[in-house]
Amino acid sequence: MTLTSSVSLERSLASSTGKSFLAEGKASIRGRGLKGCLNAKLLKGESSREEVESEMSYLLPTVTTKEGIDELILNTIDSVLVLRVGRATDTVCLHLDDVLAKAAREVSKFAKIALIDVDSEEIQAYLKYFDITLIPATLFFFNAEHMKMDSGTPDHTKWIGAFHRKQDFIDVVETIYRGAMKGKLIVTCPLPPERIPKFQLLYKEI
Amino acid sequence: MPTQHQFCRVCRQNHDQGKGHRFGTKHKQRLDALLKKIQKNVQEVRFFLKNAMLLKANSDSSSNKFWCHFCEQEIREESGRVACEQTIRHLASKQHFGAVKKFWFENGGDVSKQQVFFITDSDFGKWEEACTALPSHDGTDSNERKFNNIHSERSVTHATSVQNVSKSSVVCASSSLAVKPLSVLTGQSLPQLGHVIGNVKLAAAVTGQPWAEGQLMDPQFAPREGTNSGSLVGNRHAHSGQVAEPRYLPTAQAPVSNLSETESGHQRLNGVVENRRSDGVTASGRQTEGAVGQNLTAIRTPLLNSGEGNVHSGALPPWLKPSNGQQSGLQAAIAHSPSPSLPLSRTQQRKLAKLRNPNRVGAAWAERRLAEMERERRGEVVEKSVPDSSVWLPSFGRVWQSGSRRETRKEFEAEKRREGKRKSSGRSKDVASGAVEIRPYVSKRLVNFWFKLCWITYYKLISLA
Repeated sequence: MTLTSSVSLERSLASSTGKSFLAEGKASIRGRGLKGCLNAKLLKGESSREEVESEMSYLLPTVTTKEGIDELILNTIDSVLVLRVGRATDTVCLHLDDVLAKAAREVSKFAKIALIDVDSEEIQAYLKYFDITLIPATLFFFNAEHMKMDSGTPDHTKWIGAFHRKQDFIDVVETIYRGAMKGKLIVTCPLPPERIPKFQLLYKEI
Repeated sequence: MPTQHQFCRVCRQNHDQGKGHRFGTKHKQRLDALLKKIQKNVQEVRFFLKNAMLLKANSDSSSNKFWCHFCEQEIREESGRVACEQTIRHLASKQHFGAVKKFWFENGGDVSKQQVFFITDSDFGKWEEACTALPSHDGTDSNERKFNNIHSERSVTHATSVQNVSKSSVVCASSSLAVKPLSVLTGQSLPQLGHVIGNVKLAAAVTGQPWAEGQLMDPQFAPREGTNSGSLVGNRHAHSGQVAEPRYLPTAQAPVSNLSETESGHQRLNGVVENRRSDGVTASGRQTEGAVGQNLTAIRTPLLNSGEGNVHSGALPPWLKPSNGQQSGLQAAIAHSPSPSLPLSRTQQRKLAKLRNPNRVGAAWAERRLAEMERERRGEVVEKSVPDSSVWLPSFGRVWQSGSRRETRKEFEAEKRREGKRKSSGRSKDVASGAVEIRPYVSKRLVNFWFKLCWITYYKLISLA
């Protein structure tokens, strides 16, 4: 488990569980405030857009070990766990991180979001198991069960690519949550086809 | 007044309903089925009407028959020089035309469909013209007469190409009328990027144009459904039955112009794949070999070792595999806790539990894990429950022992509940495993039998005494 600083963790906690954070009476860096912060940065011209977006990955906890992922999956109960597998330097990944960070607070009542660094050696078991060849790939879990989604792409086991906007992600997570609460292990994607990233996979039989 | 009995040709039965019979549901169904069947045969003949072809001189044409259901007679191709000559002549005859009209008059049905079952004079005239044109181009040598399939359609009119085509193209037997045209164009070639994966040859068919313009192909799923728009047909999964071995059919242009079409195809095909998996036809899993995506970065995943599975093959997921037991304290902080900031009261918890669906995904595991986490929070050392441990498996009861089955079930359920309570209260697990006493199965009938025997002997003894 590596986090850049304790501040970033606090930020992430603030963005995800804003209520409890406020209750503890610490400095309030809430989702909107944070966004405003970033916008202010942009306006001032202190940093380029990319730099600002690269901070998105620090708004959410990043996991780099297998034990960390195990624990996340086994400790998330009755809510959806969203794991983004990717690289913080990748452009599409940055976009996805941005969407996730913005949506984290809104889905915090029924979902948890964490990022997984694809370059970490320790998580290769997960990459192998989930057969991840394209990044960013987003995995969904519910009560330690892997949730699938039929989005009309060749792969039902994960969402590949970024979400076009925040609401898309929220819709998807909500659909998964509702499906899981009804006992469904696979749900149908609520998004229209034009907002689903296109990709091709070549499978080989094993 | 009793009406006269009539025989219905379609239903093959006698009836006394008069003309009302043809409006019956069953009659209509049978008529539809029959007409479909006849139409199929007539379509085959119509193919030869459009493409007049010469028969091979030595071909066995006697096996070629056509049963005309309207005239109730069999037409044999005996003296024919051209394919289906007699049949075509019959279908164009006035007698047949009258029979069709009569059939419709007797049996009802859609009049607009009539024209399918006979050949009009103009079509017949064209065919005759084509027939007269045939021998002058074909030459005098009867051995050179070939029976060509659709490839020779153009060659009929071009004398020079007749022989080439007859040599190069597939020559099918004269007896088989069911020649299906190729469903995939074979004209133009396409820049291909071939991969040989396992025993299947796949094309990545990257055309270099942006995907949004519809240059999208599905080489992976194409072999799963032979008639799909993909550029590949494999004999392993091809349903069309036209192709003998796995090979490319270079599709003329990108076959799919509409992305949504592809997606529906994907969906359908994915469904097929999943069905297969559930059917157990393809028990083995699969692994991604190559991946291409819009602006997406492809990474190299380590290859699976033998015996290892992945998410597609339904292997044991990594989070259920035992790890070295390292604990990262930070994770606990990040992880969603059931009672985030304010501890809920018992009644509140009970209310919340009622709201949760007992049939939700992983419900049983979630309940146990919640109890464990509660104990962890109190500082107890708890052995983590893993969803795949043997306790996790559902148990449906045991062999009936005594009393009614309902009683046995109740007893079993009560025991299970007690066991669950004991576990959640944190006592040792091995007590629970020894809780169920295993008794040998004793037949109720046998017990009754011995019981009766005892009584009988007892009474006998009493009576003797």
